[in-house]
Amino acid sequence: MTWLVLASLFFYGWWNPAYLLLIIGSMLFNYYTGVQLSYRQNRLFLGIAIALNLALLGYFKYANFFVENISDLAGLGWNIEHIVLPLAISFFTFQQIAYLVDAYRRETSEYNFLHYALFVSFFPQLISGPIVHHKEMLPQFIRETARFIEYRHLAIGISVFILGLFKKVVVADSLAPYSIEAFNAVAAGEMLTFFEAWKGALAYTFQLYFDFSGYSDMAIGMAMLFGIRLPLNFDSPYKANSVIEFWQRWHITLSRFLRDYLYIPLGGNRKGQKRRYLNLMITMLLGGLWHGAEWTFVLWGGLHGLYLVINHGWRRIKELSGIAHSHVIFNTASRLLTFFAVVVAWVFFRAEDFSAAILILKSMLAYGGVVWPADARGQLGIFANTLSSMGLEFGYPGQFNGLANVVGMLVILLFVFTVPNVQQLMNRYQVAINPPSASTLAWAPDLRWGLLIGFMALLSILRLGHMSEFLYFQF
Amino acid sequence: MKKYTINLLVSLAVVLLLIAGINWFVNPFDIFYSAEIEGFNKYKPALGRYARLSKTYQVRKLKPDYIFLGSSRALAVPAGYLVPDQMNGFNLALASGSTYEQVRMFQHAHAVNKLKRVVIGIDERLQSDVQQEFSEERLAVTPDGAAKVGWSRDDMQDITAGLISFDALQASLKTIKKQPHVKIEEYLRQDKVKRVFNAGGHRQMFWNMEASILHLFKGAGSDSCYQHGDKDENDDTKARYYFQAMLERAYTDNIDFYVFFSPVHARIYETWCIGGMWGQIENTKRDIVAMVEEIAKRFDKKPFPVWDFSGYNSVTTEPVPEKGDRKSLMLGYWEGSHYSRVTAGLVLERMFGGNAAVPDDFGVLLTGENIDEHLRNIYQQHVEYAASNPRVIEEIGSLVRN
Repeated sequence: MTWLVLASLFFYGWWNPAYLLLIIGSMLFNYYTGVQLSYRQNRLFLGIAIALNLALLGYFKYANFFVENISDLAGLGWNIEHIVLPLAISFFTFQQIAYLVDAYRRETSEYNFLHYALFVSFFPQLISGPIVHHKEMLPQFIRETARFIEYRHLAIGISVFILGLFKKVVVADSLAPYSIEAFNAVAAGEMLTFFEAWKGALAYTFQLYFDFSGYSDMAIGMAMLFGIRLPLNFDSPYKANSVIEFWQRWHITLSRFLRDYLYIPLGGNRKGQKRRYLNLMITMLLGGLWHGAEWTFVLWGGLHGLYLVINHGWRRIKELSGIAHSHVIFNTASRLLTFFAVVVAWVFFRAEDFSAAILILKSMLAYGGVVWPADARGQLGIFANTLSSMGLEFGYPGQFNGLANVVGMLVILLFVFTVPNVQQLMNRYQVAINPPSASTLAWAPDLRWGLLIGFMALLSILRLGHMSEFLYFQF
Repeated sequence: MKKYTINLLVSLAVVLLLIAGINWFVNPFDIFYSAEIEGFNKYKPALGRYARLSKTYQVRKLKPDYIFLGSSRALAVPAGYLVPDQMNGFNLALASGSTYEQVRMFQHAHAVNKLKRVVIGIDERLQSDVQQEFSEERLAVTPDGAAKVGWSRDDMQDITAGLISFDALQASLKTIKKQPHVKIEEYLRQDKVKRVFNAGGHRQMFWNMEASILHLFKGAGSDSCYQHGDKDENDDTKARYYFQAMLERAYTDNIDFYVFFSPVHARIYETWCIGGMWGQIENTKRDIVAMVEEIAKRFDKKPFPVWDFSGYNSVTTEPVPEKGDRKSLMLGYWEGSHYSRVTAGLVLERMFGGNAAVPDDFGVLLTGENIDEHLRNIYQQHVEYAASNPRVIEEIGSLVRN
């Protein structure tokens, strides 16, 4: 166990040794405070400890943001040096706040510091989550007497890791240029044509999912190499039929944290409908701000808060009126509506600023025209003239290349709507804590899966290395 | 589970090692020390696209003491031409290479092996922008001249991606496939025939280049040149700072240093004229001459030679094949901006006095005393050229209007 802690701290220090002091100091403070709180329940003491954690996060993550905003509002002309955000501070702060609160509630056991340190710094999940809870991790660390090599763990861990790596390196990174192109264009004030805008917004929607869930799969796989199970973080979120369900499938460990340590302490749904909606909005706005010190993140959170309020309101109306829908058409429509609401919110999440987000949304609403590539007119066959009379223009819509892009995006959409996710494939082996339901397609340590995983590993590794080329070399 | 794990890891390792072996052996970016075999990997077609990477490593390997610097125009300069026996020449020019990138390459080469001679081709102005592919970390010294210690992140990335990546594997396969089956000179000639034909002939290539220059400088549409103007001073202080530092270093370390203004075609001068860039070009020439003389004075040395091969002379006024003619080849040019190896050879002949005949009017040695007269002469030649070539003026003018 000691070597895992050392490896984790080495991994963290590799990025910037100076911040090792920060994470070690934070762990010592919170461990000691947690132990004290579990003996002596003191609300003030808990409040101060949480405030100190938030102050640390606030200083590194939000100081620039607040100073700039206050300065702009009051015309003070303040200017502070850019503060570098220590790696993983958002994650380890939340994990330790949860620990403190639970210590105060006397829900923690007596852990030793080594185990606690591993809980905070365990390198597979330190950087990008999942946000782990002490109740699910520390018992594993205490119980775990894993031998260094256990083939079962290796086989499963490596396979999950490779599937995650493939999602990140091959799928997400291939989509990135499309979203970068579209969002850079609107950031420069350029209105896009309809298809270009949708291509950019959808590319980002898929890129973010494959990127983040790929990272989570990699973390889960890597932890499994040591026989440790991490909590499930993604469960095919775009299959959600409502925004409420979306948040039960997207970044699950963050939703869980926000629910247990923010929404419920605020009163949750126990203080009436109005208060419930207010609590939802507060939770989502702060959840948005957690993602980064930008107003666009707050807006994104606010938009999701609004979606949730509408969604809960709709459910209430359904309950009161006794309407029950389970028809396949209704479900499909719900899924599509949820998906598009999420896409619109991602636009705010990704855009450089508010005006860029509005510009891309206007482009998606065809304010910049609906243009099909002139040299791909033939792809529309007999419909070309009809579509033209309906307002479709033919020209040079940036990087939108016509049918191939449309089909490409539809294929990915169909994929995320229907194909089982990595943790479903691995259901039989319970790689994650709370794995999703099993799919018909299931991973097995056999030749067929070995070849597929090996091929995916090869593609991913070859994609990892990149040589920058200069395309204008022939003058 | 044991069998699955071992089979998976071992097979993956074997395939990756095989790919690394191929990439090391074929060495498409010339960053490794593997053998060069005629007909297998000697000709490396990927070098052009990855010049900022490859040339950095080639310098480490070849340790040249005589380098050519410049942008894509200077790529035509044959590195082995008129090189004194005791020197080892290398062309370090970079496509779209800014002055800053060139100075950094100079610093790198000088740190690897003490330079004896440097020839630098200058374009319209000194610039400091860098291309995305350029890496400071790859070079042997920092911009301040401090030696780099150990391996940088970029070095590691170059080596690992050079061995294991799609880019490297693709480049290796292309290298094997594209080996010329004729002598390299003949291959390059055939390549020129093909490229000129595919581009629609020299006339089309001239137009494209002229249009891009006018676009780049937001063509002013004026039909009168800015004679001896002081318009558009070069305010790129970073580029000037580094260029000066390079000259100072050359004086300090007794490097033979030669500066030349590229022999662009006369049509490019006409394009500059129409685009309103005439004053800027004159300023750059005055600036460089003054800078060289001022630093020489400070070091109490003879100023480095500064040659001007641009303007209107028998090389730069070579007639351009007619529109639609995709087969006639020009001797001295690709298009107006990029001269050929033949023209580059004449530049070297003029500067270093080889045996080949060079037209008398090709190349003027500039000094603080003759620069104004020289610029007046060019303007006069422009007036005469414009008067006797109204079609050229009309063609370039139409690019502005369109």
